[in-house]
Amino acid sequence: MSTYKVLIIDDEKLARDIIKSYLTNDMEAELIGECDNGFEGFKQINALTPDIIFLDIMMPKVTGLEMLELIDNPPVIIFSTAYDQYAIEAFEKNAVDYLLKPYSDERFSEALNKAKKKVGQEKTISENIIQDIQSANPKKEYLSRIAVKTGAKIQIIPVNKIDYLEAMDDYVKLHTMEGKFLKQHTMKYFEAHLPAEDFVRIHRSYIVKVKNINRLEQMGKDSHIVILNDKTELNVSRAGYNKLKEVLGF
Amino acid sequence: MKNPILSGSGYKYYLLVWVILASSHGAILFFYYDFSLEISLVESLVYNITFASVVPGFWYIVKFTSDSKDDLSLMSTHVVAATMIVAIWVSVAGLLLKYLFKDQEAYLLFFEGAIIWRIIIGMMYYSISILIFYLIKYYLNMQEKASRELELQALLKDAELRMLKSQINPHFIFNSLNSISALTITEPKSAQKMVIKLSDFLRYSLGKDSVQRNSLQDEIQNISHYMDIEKVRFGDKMVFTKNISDECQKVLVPNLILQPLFENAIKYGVYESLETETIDLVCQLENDILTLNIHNSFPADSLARKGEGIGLENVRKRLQLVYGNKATMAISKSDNTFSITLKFPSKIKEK
Repeated sequence: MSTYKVLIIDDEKLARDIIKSYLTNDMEAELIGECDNGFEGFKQINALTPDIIFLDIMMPKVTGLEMLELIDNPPVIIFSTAYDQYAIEAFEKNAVDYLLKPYSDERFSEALNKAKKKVGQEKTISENIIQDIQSANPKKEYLSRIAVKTGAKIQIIPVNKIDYLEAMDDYVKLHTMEGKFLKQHTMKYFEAHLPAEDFVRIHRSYIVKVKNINRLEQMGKDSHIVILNDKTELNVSRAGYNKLKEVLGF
Repeated sequence: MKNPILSGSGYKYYLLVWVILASSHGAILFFYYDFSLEISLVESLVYNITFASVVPGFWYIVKFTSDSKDDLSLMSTHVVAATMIVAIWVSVAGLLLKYLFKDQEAYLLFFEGAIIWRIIIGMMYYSISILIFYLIKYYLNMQEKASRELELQALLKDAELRMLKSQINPHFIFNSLNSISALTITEPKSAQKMVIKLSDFLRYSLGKDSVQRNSLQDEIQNISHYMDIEKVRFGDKMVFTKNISDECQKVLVPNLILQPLFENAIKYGVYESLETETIDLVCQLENDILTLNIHNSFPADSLARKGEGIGLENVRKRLQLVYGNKATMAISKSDNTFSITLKFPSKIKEK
């Protein structure tokens, strides 16, 4: 009989207790650890390589969703939370199920069985479903902070601390007052998820914080550069110039 | 709007006016024109009673024409009405008098010459009555408007207070229920205790009228239930102390005014922390001013998230609505502590 390694990440002891108690009903599930915050969860996932994790969302310092972004090959995830408004994001992160606290024994088993089937399978993101959910729910929430990995540590960067973003192959480099950080994501993602009134995509390779622009200079007949408060110079494409024009209103 | 003459005690003043007018009328005929008492009396009564009996009807002209769009149509309405009324009055009263005194030569002579004056007096009576009706109507409108305004303001204030009243965070309830669900398996006795606390808390917090005031004692009792529930969830991560001087206990405070402050303290303290965080409540009464201080620690490295401050802003607005400028709310913040001090009068005049 195959067993599945299960890790629980939840900041409330009683919430972990009930998952543990439900898990004892399943002979195939083996509890390998429990964590009470996202930092710890990040470490334990990398150290213990669980097959399935039960993950809370609202936790101190790092939310479950932020933690998940930093894990390269995430295990099969079942969210367990009292908040229903993160369901869309959770399924985007390829969660197999989303348990709303409090939940029954039966509901728990259903989620666990789904997860067990998923273990070892090729991960397929059903893009269509996600798009359907998104279009059915057009309410857009902008990012307020971004979680990044520096070595084995997690760092949380508030969006308002970012000066500008630069494209770097599969990564985006975040330039902040406190240093530079790499984040595995596309420019397109950031363009869509950063507050539109504060950040402008001025070039294929750059998204800049409007407040950080010191001045805009003409370079050639059709090309411009922006000079930031710290004297950094960035190229502006023609489309970027038009966007700046719109945002700054000149 | 009711007819000011026919309703209430308006008719008394109205009759008085006509008694004076009729007496003067009769006196002029008797003393100045030297008519007999009979003639003077009858003529005065015929003219004045007939006119007096139609004036209350003018009210309806005023009432229903005042909303006319332009001044010109209003004017012409009154000119037509005045002409018709005065013509009818002069002819009816005239025919009656001519019939009654058909053999009094001197009177008939006087009567013929006075017709033009009857018309002028009739027009004047009409104009004055209409003018007075307009004034009354204007006054009644003003009164009605003022009372409606007051009513509206009271409604607005009530609605605003209702809106500002803290709403219990549903996640708190669901997380608590989840804790209870866990406790039923391992510690049924504790589960039962927590169910009772949660019920007491909900009973107190739901279905309270927003304008109601409760004693500080009751408010703190409720906060203690809330903190006990959070304590079950967070265990040693949360330490709550309270220091309430005895004379504060009975002071009336706006209901659930403390709830958002504690929610805030927990949200940015305990919820965001990996360590133990403290929340302290101190209440004092001095010179009829109640001082409530809530002090909490929070992790120094925590990041401000969206949504901070709405709960606090609502408390501030609520105090403002209830106490006007007699209440203050002060916030002080350091790297890892947050402190809110509310001061407001312990006595308040009830409306």
